[in-house]
Amino acid sequence: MTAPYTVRLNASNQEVVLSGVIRPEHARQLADVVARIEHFVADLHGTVFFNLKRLRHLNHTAFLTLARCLARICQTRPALALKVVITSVIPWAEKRFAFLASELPTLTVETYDDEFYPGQKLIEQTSLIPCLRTQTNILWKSERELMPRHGLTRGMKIADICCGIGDFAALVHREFAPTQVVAVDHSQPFLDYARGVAEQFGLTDIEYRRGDASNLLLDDDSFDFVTCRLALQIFDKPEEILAELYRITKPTGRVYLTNEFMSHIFGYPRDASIRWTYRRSSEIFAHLGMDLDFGPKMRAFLTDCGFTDIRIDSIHVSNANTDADDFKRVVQSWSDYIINEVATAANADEETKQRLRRGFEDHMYAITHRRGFASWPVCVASGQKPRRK
Amino acid sequence: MNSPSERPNDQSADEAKPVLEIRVSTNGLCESWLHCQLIADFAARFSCSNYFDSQRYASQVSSVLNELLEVAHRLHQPAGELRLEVVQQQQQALALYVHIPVDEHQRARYRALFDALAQAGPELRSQLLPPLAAEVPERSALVELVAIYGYPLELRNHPDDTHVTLVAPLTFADQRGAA
Ligand SMILES: C[S@@+](CC[C@H](N)C(=O)[O-])C[C@H]1O[C@@H](n2cnc3c(N)ncnc32)[C@H](O)[C@@H]1O
Repeated sequence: MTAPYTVRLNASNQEVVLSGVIRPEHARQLADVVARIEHFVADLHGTVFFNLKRLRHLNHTAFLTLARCLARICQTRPALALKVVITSVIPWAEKRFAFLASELPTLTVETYDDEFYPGQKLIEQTSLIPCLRTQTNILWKSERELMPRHGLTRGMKIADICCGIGDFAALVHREFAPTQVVAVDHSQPFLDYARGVAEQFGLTDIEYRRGDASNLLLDDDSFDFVTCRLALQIFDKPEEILAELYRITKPTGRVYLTNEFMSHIFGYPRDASIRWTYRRSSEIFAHLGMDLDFGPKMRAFLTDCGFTDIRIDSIHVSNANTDADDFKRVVQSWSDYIINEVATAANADEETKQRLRRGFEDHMYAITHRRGFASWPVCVASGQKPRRK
Repeated sequence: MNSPSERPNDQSADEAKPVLEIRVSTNGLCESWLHCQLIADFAARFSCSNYFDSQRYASQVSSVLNELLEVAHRLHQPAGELRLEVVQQQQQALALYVHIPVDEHQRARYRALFDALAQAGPELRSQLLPPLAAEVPERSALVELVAIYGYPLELRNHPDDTHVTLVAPLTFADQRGAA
């Protein structure tokens, strides 16, 4: 057998996990794999999952061998349900397994990307674009200054995971002259937009890729600096994404994160109304499985994931250090997005929406008021992947 | 790069743009099974580098090309030069041309494979799973490309009978265009 692949049999969730590249010359080279799978499945009941989310290539010989193995299981164990889990970012998988599902009565296929995490559909919407764009505008000035302290220097290999509309990757490219930038997001509309941004910047060498942050098709130990901004907070299992960021980082390389502390956004005057709105918003996000108060938890998650030399900062966006019109525009976009999309998805009633709207308006009032003060705290953290012992 | 006119019967030749050509000795290719995927991955990565979301397209090109090279590897006999061309067709789809040196016996084998493909029609799909199919892996690999993926594979004879050409026009279903 030539190329590297792994087979994991996970009894606790009845899962066979195949990853890597499987391109053997002869079916018999997979005899051992097939025997292990059949042996594993023999003791199981209910549903067995075949997780192929990180299987990059499977040649015809390997596909046929696997297909036959599945066909035999279907035949000998008609009460056992087989579920093959694939992702649409791997182009060969969908047609092949749709075919197999049409041939084998107890086999079904699940394309996993639709349901990475509970709030996914809400996050990948184009209505979020203006919000993301203005946020990056505002934050860039601080992040540009902060990132060198978190290990970013010129000439690095950089990955931006959950890159959104790609503006940050483009700015980093312009400012820090990396040798390579790979930017990954799962939303096709955002990536389309990203391409426009890159064109605007005259950049041709950022690799924008559609992919899943929890199953990145990037090699182990391959980047000096991995960024993931305002994104861990939208996943219900951030530790899974963080483990992937760790995996792709080179030993001694660093992972750089930003996340919000939404319930602690404040402003004056009309402070009570402002506080109420952001606390309530955070609760509504939580109801949908997102943690917009993830910011202060980063140190704990980085530590648990095995990072060392953890560095923490915070960016305090306020109307004292940021253009008031820009800041106001961000709050307006939050207001539109949270009320029209998020609160609606969470079935919030009209009265709640009204009160939310009032709080956002009050925040904007504080931003533009001659005597007002308004803030948006963003937490920054990074950690180093230790050298191998 | 050879001029597009060397590709016989190619109606869209006027609009075709060469992207890449690789020549390898068939003996070299067949020294190691791994060579198929090394060439396929390299050619795919190279020819898709200008596509937006290049990884996705490269992955698709590599899959198809690897299967074609594996077929050539399995059927290899006469020594000579295998030539691979990647060509950009109109609307930015790519076509793969694998020119394989053949003797008479080899040419007949390729012809027989493709004749069987053409004859089977819609039943092709049903030929994949039964145990017999695996006994001729090069055949079932082609069946899969045609019947499951829907690539209109074609076999072309070279005018001087020294080569055959496997042609695989690829369309990217969710093509976003070249960057
Ligand atoms: C709040 S946005 C932040 C985007 C960007 N980092 C920024 O700061 O503007 C979260 C991003 O995560 C992306 N995303 C969501 N689930 C993903 C997944 N499973 N894999 C990759 N990206 C994902 C969304 O499409 C969205 O662009």
